[in-house]
Amino acid sequence: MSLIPSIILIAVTTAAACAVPGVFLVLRRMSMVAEGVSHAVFPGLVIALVILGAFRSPLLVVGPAVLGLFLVFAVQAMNRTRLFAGDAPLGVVFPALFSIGVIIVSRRFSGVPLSENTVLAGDINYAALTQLHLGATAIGPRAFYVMLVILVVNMAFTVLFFKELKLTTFDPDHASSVGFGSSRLYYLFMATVSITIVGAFEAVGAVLVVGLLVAPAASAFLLSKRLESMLLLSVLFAVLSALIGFWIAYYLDAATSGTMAMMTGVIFLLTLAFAPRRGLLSKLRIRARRRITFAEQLLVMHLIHHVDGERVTPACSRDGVRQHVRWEPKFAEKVIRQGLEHGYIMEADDGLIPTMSGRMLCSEALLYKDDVCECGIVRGGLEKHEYEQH
Amino acid sequence: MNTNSTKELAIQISDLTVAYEETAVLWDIDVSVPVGTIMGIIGPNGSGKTTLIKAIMGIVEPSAGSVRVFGRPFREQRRRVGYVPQRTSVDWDFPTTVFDVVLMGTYGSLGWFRRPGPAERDAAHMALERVGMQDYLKRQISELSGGQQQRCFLARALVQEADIYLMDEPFQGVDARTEHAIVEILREMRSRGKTVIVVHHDLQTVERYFDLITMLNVRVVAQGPVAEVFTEENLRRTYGGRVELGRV
Ligand SMILES: Nc1ncnc2c1ncn2[C@@H]1O[C@H](COP(=O)(O)OP(=O)(O)O)[C@@H](O)[C@H]1O
Ligand SMILES: [Mg+2]
Repeated sequence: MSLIPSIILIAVTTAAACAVPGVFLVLRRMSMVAEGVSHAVFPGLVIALVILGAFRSPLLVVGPAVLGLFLVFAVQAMNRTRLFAGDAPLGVVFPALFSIGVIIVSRRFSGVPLSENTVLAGDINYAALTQLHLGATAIGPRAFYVMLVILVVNMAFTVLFFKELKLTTFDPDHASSVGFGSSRLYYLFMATVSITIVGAFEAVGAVLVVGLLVAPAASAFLLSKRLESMLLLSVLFAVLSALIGFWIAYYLDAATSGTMAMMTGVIFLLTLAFAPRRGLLSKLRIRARRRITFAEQLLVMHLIHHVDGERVTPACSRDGVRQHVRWEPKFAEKVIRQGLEHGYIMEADDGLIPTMSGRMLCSEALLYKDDVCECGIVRGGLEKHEYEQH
Repeated sequence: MNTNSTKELAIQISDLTVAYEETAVLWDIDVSVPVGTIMGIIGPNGSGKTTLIKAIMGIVEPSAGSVRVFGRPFREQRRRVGYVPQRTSVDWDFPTTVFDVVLMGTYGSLGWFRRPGPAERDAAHMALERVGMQDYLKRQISELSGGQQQRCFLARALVQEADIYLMDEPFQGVDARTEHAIVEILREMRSRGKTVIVVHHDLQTVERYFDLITMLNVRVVAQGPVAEVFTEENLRRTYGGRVELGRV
């Protein structure tokens, strides 16, 4: 098979194979672990290469995967002792292991067919050259078949244990209480993650593996209402990153894996900015709206006190409001305008007065225990104003 | 209310000690809960209330002691116990809907591999109606208020049709209406012979909500009918000097 379709086949299967378990890694906030394993399997892979000396053995996947898995659990055991805080063990152990792998490779230990560069940036082009033969005909790159098997395993695992994965990921304590002790499933899941990483590592390199495991799932998270759609979107984003990345690399003559990894990042940044509810822009918009609503409540409160209590006309005039509530003149103008528009306040001869719906807006603010703090501010603020007046 | 010691016990905890890495967080706990009562557990932060609830269900392994649920180990009685964890113990940004979360309450009886069917869906609908959340089925859980999240969790436990309910701070950060609704459900459960254990933090409502109270601070400081043991003296022994704060 010729080079370009081979590369595309490898890229697409690897992307999809990583994107599926990536969803659960992201939801369990284990992206660091993904990175850790992808570093940890490297020395395993190098040592396996040194011992086996050839690419063909299936031990080449199993050996490093077992090592990666073992190291993940070792680190978690270390975490449980609470001798180190948080991610510290991962941060220390895994890069150290990775550098051991790099040292072995860079000293060209017994002719390992890897270079430091291949390991980091990956060399999908090289993987595409290693074709599998059926008789005399090349039937496609070996890495494609490896990743295809891994993809099928990951999808089967996810479909088979969908209910259990969802339950144990969302609420492990509740899961355990109804009889799904999460540890067995968790070991199984981490095993699939390790195998995926080892397979993908060989095909596309460390940087892209981590990119494909984490970024598409994180992008999908920002857009998804349900777990099913998060899985689908994650695969879609991963495959898109691979294809667009390949296309850009091809035209710019850039490193293929590196450009694909960059694309996973670009897609993530785009969703982070523009996602409808969880994106940064929409969060800013929501916060601005909340600020106005809160200000409107504050304004109505202020007016209620002055209308219901002894009436001090100046306090209810536009100027009075501005002075008493201490807003920037422009912001005060905006709040008053919005308040009038929403019907929370109305304009009378001698200034602004609160309407019925305005009063309801305020009582809403006071109803919830959650908002005790905000109400405190409201009340405190008004008392202060009254105090200043008398 | 019945505290008669000859009455059948829903839960019996004997000599229970739980440690995290050689630090005891529960020490030699003995607690008995008769069937058909509402028991509150109070104690300062970090006094082991959550750990006690988890130890009952084997979520944390005790270092010593035993827990009996209707006279048998918890493992054999799973179906009869419903759990409402602390609302803040999960990530509410998880991509799922209210209905899905409630449906999770049926997973235990389904076991491995089997998917929920029409019967499970019906049960979930009914539970949502009981907590007044039927209009929020399709809502993503991140769009719920604190009170709605709590109702959602309660519905998930109700689906199980259990005989014992363990609730961890169900009133924390909820609106007054939700608190009222939950209390109503608790009382209705009791009238149907269910047993409820509630971790609680608001000392002012203890007398109104509970039949029995366990006052906890690593050890059991006091337990028994609220009228007998909920005293200034016991509060001071449980909370140390901080008691006045709670009783204003
Ligand atoms: N997983 C854990 N590992 C280590 N210590 C823990 C763990 N969970 C809780 N603790 C500690 O156990 C003590 C009791 O915690 P907890 O049962 O949550 O108390 P409460 O619910 O009464 O606030 C606390 O000091 C807490 O720090
Ligand atoms: Mg607690």
